[in-house]
Amino acid sequence: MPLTIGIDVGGTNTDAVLVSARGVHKKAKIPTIKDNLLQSVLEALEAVYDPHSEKNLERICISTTLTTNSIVEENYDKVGLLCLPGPGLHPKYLPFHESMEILPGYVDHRGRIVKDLNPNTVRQAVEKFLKKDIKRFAVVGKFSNRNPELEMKIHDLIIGEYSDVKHISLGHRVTSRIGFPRRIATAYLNAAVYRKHKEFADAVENALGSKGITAPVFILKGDGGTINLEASRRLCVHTILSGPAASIMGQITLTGEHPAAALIDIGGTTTDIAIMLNGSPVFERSGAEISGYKTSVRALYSRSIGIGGDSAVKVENGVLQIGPHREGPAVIFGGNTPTPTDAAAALGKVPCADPKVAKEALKPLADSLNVTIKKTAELIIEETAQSIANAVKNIVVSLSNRPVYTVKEVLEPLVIELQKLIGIGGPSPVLTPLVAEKLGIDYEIAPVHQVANAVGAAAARPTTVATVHCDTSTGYYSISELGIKKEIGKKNWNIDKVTAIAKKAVEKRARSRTGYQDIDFSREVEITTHEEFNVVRGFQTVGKIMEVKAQIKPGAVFSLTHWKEGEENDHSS
Amino acid sequence: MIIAPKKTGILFFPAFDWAISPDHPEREERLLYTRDQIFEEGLLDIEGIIEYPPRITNYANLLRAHICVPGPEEITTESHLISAGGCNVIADAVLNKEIQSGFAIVRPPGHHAMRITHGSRGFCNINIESVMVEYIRKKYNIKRIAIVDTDAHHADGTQDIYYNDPDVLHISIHQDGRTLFPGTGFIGEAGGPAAYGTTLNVPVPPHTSDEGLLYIMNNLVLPVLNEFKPEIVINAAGQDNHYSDPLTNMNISARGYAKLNELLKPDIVVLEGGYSIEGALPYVNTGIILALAGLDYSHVLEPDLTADKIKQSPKITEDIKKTVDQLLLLFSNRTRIDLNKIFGKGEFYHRTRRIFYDTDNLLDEQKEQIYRCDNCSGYRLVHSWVNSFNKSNYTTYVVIIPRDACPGCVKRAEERWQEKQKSGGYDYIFLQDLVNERYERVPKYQVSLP
Repeated sequence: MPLTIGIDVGGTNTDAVLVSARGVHKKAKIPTIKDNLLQSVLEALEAVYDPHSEKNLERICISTTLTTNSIVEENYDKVGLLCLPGPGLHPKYLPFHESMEILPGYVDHRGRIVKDLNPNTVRQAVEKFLKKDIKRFAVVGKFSNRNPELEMKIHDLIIGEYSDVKHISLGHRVTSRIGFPRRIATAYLNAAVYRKHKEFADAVENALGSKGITAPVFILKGDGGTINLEASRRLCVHTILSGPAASIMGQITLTGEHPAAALIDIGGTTTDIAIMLNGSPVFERSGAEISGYKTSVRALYSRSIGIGGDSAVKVENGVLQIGPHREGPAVIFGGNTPTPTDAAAALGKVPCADPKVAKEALKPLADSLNVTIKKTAELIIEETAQSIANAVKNIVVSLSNRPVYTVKEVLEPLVIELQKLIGIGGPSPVLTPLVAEKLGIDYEIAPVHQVANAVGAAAARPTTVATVHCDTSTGYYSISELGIKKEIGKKNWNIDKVTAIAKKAVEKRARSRTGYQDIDFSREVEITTHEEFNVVRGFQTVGKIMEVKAQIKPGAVFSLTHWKEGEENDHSS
Repeated sequence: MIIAPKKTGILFFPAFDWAISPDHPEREERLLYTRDQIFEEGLLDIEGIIEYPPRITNYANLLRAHICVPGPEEITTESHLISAGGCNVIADAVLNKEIQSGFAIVRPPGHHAMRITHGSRGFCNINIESVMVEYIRKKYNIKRIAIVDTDAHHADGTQDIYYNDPDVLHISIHQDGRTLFPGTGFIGEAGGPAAYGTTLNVPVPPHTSDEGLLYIMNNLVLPVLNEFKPEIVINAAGQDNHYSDPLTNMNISARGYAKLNELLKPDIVVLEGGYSIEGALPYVNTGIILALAGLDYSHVLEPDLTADKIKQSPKITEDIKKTVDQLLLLFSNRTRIDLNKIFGKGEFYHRTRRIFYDTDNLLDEQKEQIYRCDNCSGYRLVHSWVNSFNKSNYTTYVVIIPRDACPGCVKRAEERWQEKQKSGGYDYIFLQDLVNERYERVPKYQVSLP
């Protein structure tokens, strides 16, 4: 039976599971070592690794906060940013403009080179950075997703002439998405965290090698898919925000795919809310945002609100105030400020907690409100649930009110009618039913599972994407992620042909990586963009512009919806 | 992270699945490159630039601006209703103070659609600015509105709708009608008897460039606005005055257009025409958005633009100065002038017109009477004979009660409406009563109007 190890490095704990389609065989939780994430990963791995089942170990999946933390703490390498902005938005508005050298040469919206490079300006810029001891570069041109040639020329020039240069991130490789400023941020951050991530990847590889573990290693991305360790080195920025993704994938693995559900992960300080439609989690529209930087990194849509089981509860001007801060653990667990968890305990809903302690903690609040302690506890739970329900409602409204660009979409708007609320996290057994009631929908509580994120990381499918942009009137097609720009000749290409190329490109890209063999391409590849326009000049159709994006859709490779803790041991011996 | 100094709303509705016909300039592809440019520049990611989703409007909103013959259902598609509805979304956002200004980048356009509209002319069926203006007047307590139309073609539809409305100032700056569709928009067309001087036409010679346009803004439009004191300023931003437009002969650049908006500071900008979809629209729209948001647009530049390309000849500069001087005189004398000299001494002001619908291939011959009332702008009666080359001919009679109508005019118009229903003789008889919000037709509308 194929086994997977899933590891989730969280802020406080690192969780690990040894898991199969039958259930969780082993699990472990160890405190995260803040400045040595590698050590945390290895310790967690050690805790669940079973040398006897080595031959069945199919893969190891790690969700790490390495890149996320490094960006949030601005603890990364300086990057020399070479930009080809052409005309348009003033470069002073671009992200990282203070580390930017602007080069002449640019591509227009059709992917045509309007102005070619001047190799000397490239050399001057590179030398300027090298003099400052900056050896990692990001090269980003406007519309490079439509035509990667200029970025590739710069790459080749630097590699050919400057042996000091350690790394170059190219805009069109890190993302095929439209959006120059986001592409800049994405490529810059990719280059900035490259060294740290590579060191981590190398160390993981060495450590596993010395143990004789040969199973391929994957890293969880922010979009809920995984990428193999080798490819993750070049595309490391895509591993940011894997924490929320692990939680969402965990919920999907444990409760299944739903037609329209809100997923709430109620923690101590915050509650994360995600939405699932037609069995798939909803994505951020334009990409992930991290530390104020808007990027093109594909990420699952997740919103955090400042309310959780440990939120500080106060009474201000006769009104209950829950959150957004946490001032420590619940009083029943040794804290000083009453919390929703204490309210639940006062109502006898927290097993193994003393309701007396909780009631004592709520007394000052009850006095200020001039109601009984029981009433106070009920009010706190009620208010907490209401806040979460309101946040879910607001999210549904904002997702429904998305801009649309066709008549059809205006006439048949996306209507999100939630059917189910999925709750996970310590306080969720108490709060989920109440939130669901306020939303008027069913609920399901993911089996209280201390290692759901690690399960999510383990179950997440390896994914990849390819975008084909074809312009038959200019006679070219490009696949940004693969750095391809090819002439199509005079061939009369249509959208079916472009779609076939996109599907093939995704398959090829996946097959070139180890660990992607088990993907059923006919089922798991989906088309996410499908556009076709006639190009008309002078009242004559002179060609077509077509764009097709194909991806292996993120999802769980196995489901544990029917698994109950303890059952797996009956089968696994 | 950049923050726009001025909160700006964008409603982008490119109608990627709608065309007049596959090869028509008004087709699916028209705003494709604009989308690519706006998205690649990341304009919608800028803090303070807010994108609004479109909304479809209803027939009732059209009927405050239009008499649709035979009915709104017959002469509109959903795309027209979304284009007009999109403008209303931006109007709401501005008037609810969510944004300082907003830009409706919508299609199809509307400024050639007349008050009585029989279908499509100059790519327009429904006048999207007028539908918006009437929506604003109905929903918000706003009376005085200025529309500055900078499309290369004369905004004859908008002019028609507000020709006798003293509360709407309509300024159209366009390529001289002797050289371009629709062939109107001369200085002499300056408003009806109740609104003389609140229609201003600024015909400019072919090859007028940024220099000329900005001269008009500084020396005519801004001083006139300053005196008229509108509560809302709208820019009908046709982009076919661009030097690369295939249908016109003007020489405006993207930066010139951005500068225009920086000077005008419109509350609402609405896209009108513009068919240089690759060479102009992506850059002009980028320029307008940046200018509205108060951001630096000095790097917006068309790839093929050189200073020589749009150099304006001294002769054109001279012509424009003359036109501006004449219009300034006309505007400053508008209240002193003897209206009888222009409109005659009769009880009614009469005018006859022939309006050709190039897209739908029909000719509307109109005889219009405006009652010259001392207390209001006067009710209007219109006979319209339509000669259609595709369908059968038909006749229409329309009674219009303007929004400021006095009780006397309401009564007189009502009598005419009753009279005509009895006597018949027309295929369609309409009442557009803007005082009591009655929009009726004989025979009765098949569609239900809310």
